[in-house]
Amino acid sequence: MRTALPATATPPAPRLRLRLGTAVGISVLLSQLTSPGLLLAACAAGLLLALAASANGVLPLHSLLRRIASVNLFVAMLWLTLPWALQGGGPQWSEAGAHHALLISLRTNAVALGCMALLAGLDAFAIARAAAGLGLPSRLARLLVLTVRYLGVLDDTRRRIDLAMRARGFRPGANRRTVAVLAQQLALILVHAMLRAERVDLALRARAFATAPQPATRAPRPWRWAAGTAALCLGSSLLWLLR
Amino acid sequence: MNAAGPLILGRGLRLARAGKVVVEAFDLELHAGERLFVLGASGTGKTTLLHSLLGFVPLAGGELQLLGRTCRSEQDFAPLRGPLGLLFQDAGDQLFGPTVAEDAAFGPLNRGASAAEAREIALQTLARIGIAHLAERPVHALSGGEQRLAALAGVLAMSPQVLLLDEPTTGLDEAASERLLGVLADSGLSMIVASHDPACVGALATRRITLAPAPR
Ligand SMILES: Nc1ncnc2c1ncn2[C@@H]1O[C@H](COP(=O)(O)OP(=O)(O)OP(=O)(O)O)[C@@H](O)[C@H]1O
Ligand SMILES: [Mg+2]
Repeated sequence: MRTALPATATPPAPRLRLRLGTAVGISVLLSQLTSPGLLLAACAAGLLLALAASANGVLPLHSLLRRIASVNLFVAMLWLTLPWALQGGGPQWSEAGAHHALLISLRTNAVALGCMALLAGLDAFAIARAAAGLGLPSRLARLLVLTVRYLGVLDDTRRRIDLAMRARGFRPGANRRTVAVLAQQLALILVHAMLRAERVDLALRARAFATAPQPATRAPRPWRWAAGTAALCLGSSLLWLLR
Repeated sequence: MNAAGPLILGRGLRLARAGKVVVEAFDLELHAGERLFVLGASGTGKTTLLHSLLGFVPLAGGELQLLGRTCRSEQDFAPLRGPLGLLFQDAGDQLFGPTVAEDAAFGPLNRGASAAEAREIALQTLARIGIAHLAERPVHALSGGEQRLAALAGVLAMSPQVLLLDEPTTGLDEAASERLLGVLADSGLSMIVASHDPACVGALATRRITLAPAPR
């Protein structure tokens, strides 16, 4: 199957590939470092580079700050679990766990800052094209693009539902009704996503996307979809944590 | 509230989407009993205007009074969502079910009705617009026209004073469209309607304004 990723107005392909290649290389390198000092230095260097990119206007400062904040939200969750050893008398502080958490925090920040600086201003399409240029199989490149695209779509769905709820006078507060409504909202986002996935699937097949013959009847799709997604999320977070 | 003044009064409204000005220096007035039609080509900002009246698109300039109160911040707009009822352009966006009756009960519940009261109001509203038979259907298993009517039921169930309707008849067949227009005319409510549909304009409009394309 050929990949025809949309062309965007981005830097010439070789430079793009160089940037992506460097980002991948640096990430691999950083993930092997075990000295907090070196990692801290890498963080500082990454921060400087990212700030320079922002000063050049390729990466707005507020979005840089927002990204750093969201990376560190994840890091904060790590600190809530990793340094605590569960023994007879409740959770206990563990030196080894804390050291592990420190390394992961520093690595995460260094890699994130480096990637932000190197890939500033590129959208998912450009990155996927560069990755395909570096030898990433085209199916994976397409998957990357679709993933990014559908994260956006999900967020959009959430925003629409939120508007519709507020238009009918829903005001969140600290009460049981709010909890029930938010749960309903979450379920609805999933339903919307499933319905959309079915439409996209039809649209893709209408354009002769499917290569393998489809069996005439299939197991209920929503169920499989939900199970598959859950397994994927769980699997990837485990892989990430156990690295 | 003030019986004499206009229900909606906008002066020099300026509305922007993603940093781009869409509506500029726009004046708007709606008096009790009026059915004001907002016309204009695609992309001229009809949806943007209706959403700004609920505070979903912040004012980039100008002044807005709704039901006699000046509205600027979220706190000003929040209590008016209900008294001003918005029918979204895409009815699918508006329904959150699970069933049609439960969806229609959502607004009354937000206004503090008990579950039984809310259900009663919902069923009455469905009957009033002729879709009582859809009450127990899941909202995602409706046709486009049925979705539109169900969404309207959700709005009417809040007993609004003013309706804001975004392309209410688009995509409906003639019969469904006529039924909807009948319901709207019978409601006796004041409304602002964004529409391309000549039948809809002809049947309901008491006054029309046209949005000009945005300055480039
Ligand atoms: N969420 C958004 N983000 C950025 N720009 C938007 C957004 N929504 C609308 N716009 C832009 O604002 C302008 C006005 O859009 P709006 O939806 O208000 O038009 P409309 O008159 O309702 O059109 P239609 O008749 O097609 O419904 C358009 O140029 C559109 O591209
Ligand atoms: Mg519109």
